[in-house]
Amino acid sequence: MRKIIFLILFICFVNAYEYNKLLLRTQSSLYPKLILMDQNLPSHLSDKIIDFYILVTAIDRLYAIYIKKQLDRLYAKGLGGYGFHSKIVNFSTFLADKESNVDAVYVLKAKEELLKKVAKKIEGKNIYSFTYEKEDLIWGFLFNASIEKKVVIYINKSVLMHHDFEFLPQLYQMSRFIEP
Amino acid sequence: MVKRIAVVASISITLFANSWSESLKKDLRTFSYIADISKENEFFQPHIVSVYKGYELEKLGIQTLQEALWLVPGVDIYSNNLGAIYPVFRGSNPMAFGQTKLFIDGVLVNNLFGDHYTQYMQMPIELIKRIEVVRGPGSKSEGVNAYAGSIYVTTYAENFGEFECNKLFVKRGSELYRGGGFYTNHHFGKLRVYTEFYYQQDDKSVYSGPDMLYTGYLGEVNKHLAKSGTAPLWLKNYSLAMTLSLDGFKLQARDNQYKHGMGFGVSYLLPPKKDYYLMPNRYLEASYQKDLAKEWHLDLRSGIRHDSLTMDTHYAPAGLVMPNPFDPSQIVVYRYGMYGFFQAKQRAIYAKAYLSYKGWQNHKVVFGTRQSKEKTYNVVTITTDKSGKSGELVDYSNSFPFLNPNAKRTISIFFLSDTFDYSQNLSFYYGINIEKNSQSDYIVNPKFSMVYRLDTNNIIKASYAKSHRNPSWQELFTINNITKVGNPDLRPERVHTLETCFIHRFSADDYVQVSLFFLRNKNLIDNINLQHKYLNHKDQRLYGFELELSKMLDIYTKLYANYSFVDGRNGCGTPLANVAKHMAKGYLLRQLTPNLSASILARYVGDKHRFDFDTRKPLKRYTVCDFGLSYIFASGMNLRFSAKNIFDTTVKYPAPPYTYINDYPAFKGRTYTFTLAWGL
Repeated sequence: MRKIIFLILFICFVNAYEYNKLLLRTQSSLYPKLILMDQNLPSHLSDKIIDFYILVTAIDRLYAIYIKKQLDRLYAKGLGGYGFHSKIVNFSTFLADKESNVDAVYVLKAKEELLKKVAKKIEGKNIYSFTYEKEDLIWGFLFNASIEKKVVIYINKSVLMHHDFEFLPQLYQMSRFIEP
Repeated sequence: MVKRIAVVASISITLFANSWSESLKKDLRTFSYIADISKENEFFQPHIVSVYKGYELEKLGIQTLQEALWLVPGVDIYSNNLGAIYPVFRGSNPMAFGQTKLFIDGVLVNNLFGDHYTQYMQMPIELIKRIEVVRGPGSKSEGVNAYAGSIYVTTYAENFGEFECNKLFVKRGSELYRGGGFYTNHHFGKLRVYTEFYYQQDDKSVYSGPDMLYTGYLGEVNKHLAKSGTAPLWLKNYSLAMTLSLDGFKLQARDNQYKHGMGFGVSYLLPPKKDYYLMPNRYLEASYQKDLAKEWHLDLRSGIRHDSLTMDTHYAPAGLVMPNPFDPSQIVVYRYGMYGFFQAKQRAIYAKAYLSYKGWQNHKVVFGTRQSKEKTYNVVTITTDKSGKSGELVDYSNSFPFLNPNAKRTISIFFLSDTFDYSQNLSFYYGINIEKNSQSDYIVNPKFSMVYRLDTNNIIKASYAKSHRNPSWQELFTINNITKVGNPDLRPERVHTLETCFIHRFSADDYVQVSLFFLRNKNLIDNINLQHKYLNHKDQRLYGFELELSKMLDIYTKLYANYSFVDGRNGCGTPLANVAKHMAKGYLLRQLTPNLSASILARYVGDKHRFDFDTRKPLKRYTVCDFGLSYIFASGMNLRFSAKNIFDTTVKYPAPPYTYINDYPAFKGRTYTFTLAWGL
């Protein structure tokens, strides 16, 4: 009986993602600065404000709020002469919105199909894209910061090549490239 | 003109971008440092380590440090006759304390009397930011010889600019459990003040027995006095801690007062409910850190730690017949039973200084020393007249003390280590601790380890280490006691360890880790013999493996589980006793809504076989399941409910042979706790 109950509980209670809070903080601090390393940034912005979307599934909303608090604490007053506006957006809302004026997206964990759709939607639009998970770069996102022995920045080379980004050489020196 | 403007603009953009480049580099350095300190890069550390974060443990309904340690692969929880709880790593000498070290915010808190830290095992999880458990004699803290393992508890005194600066919590649960506490972080200019407090009490007890008299160990004539009944395991515990930080200077202080029912009796005879022991532990440590030059770093720390054991108990029933301790040829009938008030106060003073140097290629060299002086400064022994002539209390503090009042020891440790990054993928750590203490010759403990990164997701570690454990005060200096006979001639326990580990990372948070270990223990100390005298009487070989898995089965499905296996032989060829060869633990967590989560946690501990001379059946295996619910309100308030042992499983800790034949029950049925916490 105990085994049956345990099995039922086992099957029922498997449904969560526990984010690493230090990694979230690290990424929140680094990602906006990576945008500033692009020498073509002015030509990619429609105004003087960087619109930064945190793309999230509904269940992870508290983590998205945590990220937004970090971003707002660091960059609410702007960065590098640009205004900075962060916003929490559901994947489904983002994908349905045809008018969005987004400059950068930071994708949290989501199903593969959703991530592929987001990558498809931003493809070729010179939108800076960042992931929580390094493995998600393969779907067509540009940047990831991971904690290994030290903090490492990864750049998706194929995404870089297919967009009009011109990052400073210093960024390349401190980054690693991956070619999915 | 246009050219000039273009050139100026170009230069401006470059300068501007360069400043952000520098800012980016600084961030990378800062977060790499934090990851290193907080062991987020545990897979690249030269130890086999498991890291548990407080906020995750809270969600699981875990209440205390003890419950958290129960999750660690290869770690089992035991109790002694006082109901004092301690963890045992990889089956290493489960009938002895002192096998592991506990550090709270970097301060070693093991007490001198038993070389354990029972008084911290009930530390509320709400006050713990992170627990790092190093299995094996890892030498992360140079200057301390960890033995079977070490536990590093970090409180919220560590703050790298996180939001969670203050917290208040209250708890209520079964067995009349009531508790509460808080921590705060305040800044006054450069001065940072961390304050922490908690109080908790309960009325826990378990039904146990018959007690040791039933075995006839104290004579057939006393067998009829054997009792079964309620063993008092109630608790009253508070702790106040403070940390002041100013630039490189830090002052840490803690006062932990711990009062506990006498459990299963100091002499293995069931005590009355109101009998207690007090085990306070308080320390004060001052430290100073400074970067002397670009490559040199200085770390100085000095501290004092007081701990004591006080027992107020009826330790033998009326009518007990025993030889007169002053004239063993005479038999005495203790018509009034035996009451005792025992107290031993200890003090340890220590200082540590080390320098680290990073200026030589990819090396980080650390060298320094740790000096300590430990002594007993007060022993009180008041008991019922031991001659049996009256029921009067007599002060035996000078004539018949329970602990050698002149107990003392000095320890000098010198250490040297080097962490060498041979390449981006290959790192080495090697070091040596040399110890001279007043009770043994020089002891040299080397350690060597290697971390090799096959690629970004696959890592191999290997290490060899040698270490030792100095005998505790109880083992060395207990006197005038028939159930625990100290031995000042004890030699330190020694261990040689070979470990290897393979880690595969599926993603940022998912991994599988397989560890293999081989331990050779020498001079193991216990008092499991007819004289109950502490002896270095056996060697032991232990080997096994641990498997740890944390995996998102799909985007919403997380599984954490571990399995550990240990086996081995004693030096005389007898199999391991009182050790569960198989253990499995795991938890599952479901986020029902963004605010509501539910969890289930399970622990399986296998059969424990007895010593070959112990005729009792093996201690039966058990599986315990806990359930937790957590709701976070929009205001940040967190309401949690946890139910422990939901299947009402019987769990027992092994009692030594010839004591409690039915062992020590761990808890009584199902229990529950409600917690309300505010993060401010």
